[in-house]
Amino acid sequence: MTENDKPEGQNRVQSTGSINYLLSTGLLVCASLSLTAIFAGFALLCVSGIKDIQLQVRLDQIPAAITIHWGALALICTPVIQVIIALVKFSLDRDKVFAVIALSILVFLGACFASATFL
Amino acid sequence: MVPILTLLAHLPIKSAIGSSLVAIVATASVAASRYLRLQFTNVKLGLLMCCAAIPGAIVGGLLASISSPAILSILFGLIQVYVAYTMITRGDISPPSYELSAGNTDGVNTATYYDRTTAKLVGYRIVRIPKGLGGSFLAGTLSSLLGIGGGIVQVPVMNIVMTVPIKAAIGTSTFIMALTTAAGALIYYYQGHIHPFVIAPLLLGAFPGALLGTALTERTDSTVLRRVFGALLLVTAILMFLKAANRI
Repeated sequence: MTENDKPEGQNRVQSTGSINYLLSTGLLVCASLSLTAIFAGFALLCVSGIKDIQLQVRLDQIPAAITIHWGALALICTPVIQVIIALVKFSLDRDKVFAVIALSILVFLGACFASATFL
Repeated sequence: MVPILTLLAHLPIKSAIGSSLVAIVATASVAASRYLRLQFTNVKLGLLMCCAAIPGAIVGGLLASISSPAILSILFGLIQVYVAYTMITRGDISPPSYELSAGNTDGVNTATYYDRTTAKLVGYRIVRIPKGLGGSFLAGTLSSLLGIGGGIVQVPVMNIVMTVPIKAAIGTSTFIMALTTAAGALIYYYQGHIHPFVIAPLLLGAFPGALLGTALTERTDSTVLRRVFGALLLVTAILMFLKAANRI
């Protein structure tokens, strides 16, 4: 189906949804990369992990565990990236109200994390 | 997921919560990506609701030590029964009319999405924003107080109070859920409660589930979706009553 064949409404929605498209692409790329790392780590574990676990005690010495850990961290940070993308987009569009709202969410998240880790 | 991980897999409770949070982040991120592309997600509304939900979660965390979870579970269960009844019996809540024209753009209180099931562009106007923000604050408080997913409160608040169509409410709630859950998951990650060999198989199951869920939402009629969601609320209410009975 070409652009012209699509219903009128569908084309209109696509033209007004550039921020949705940006956020969707950002989420998809980050989620795909992190899930790939996690599944690659799991595959590595299935192939050689059991022997590794028997030989080594610490998780940070097992390659499969390290791969999954980094993948998990990237996955957890993925939704935060969508707020950063929104902040940049609203700033470029000079939408001050929503740029401030996006920034305040980042501050809230940072405060939550800081209070949980340092208090 | 947490009871299964603790009872069947014998995981410590904190590891079970941390691992299930990572699974929720994964499913919410995958679903949010699809809903954003389908224009179901209203980004501005989602950010506004997040502004209320996150402080609500902090208040919930502070109240957790001084409130009775059993009484709260019963109260929340009763509210859910009422909301479920409203969602199942009322069919579709008609949003205030919104004229679709070339000059109209999606804004803070107006938005559009393309509904594949009816092959129509759906325009909607968001009303009672202050009340909706209050509901979002309550959703944040209850989710951190009772350990429930925020979506179970956010979706009815957006749909019934703010007259956001059910598909847009689900899409926007997924956007909010991904963010609020990520905050919690990051803390559990930092504290070392996320076990790599537990989350990998969990995600193997959750990932196809998220893809299936978004595909079904896209293809299901809004009225059917509201009734299914209402039924889900009833099940959650029953679980809340059972949880309360165990604590009394």
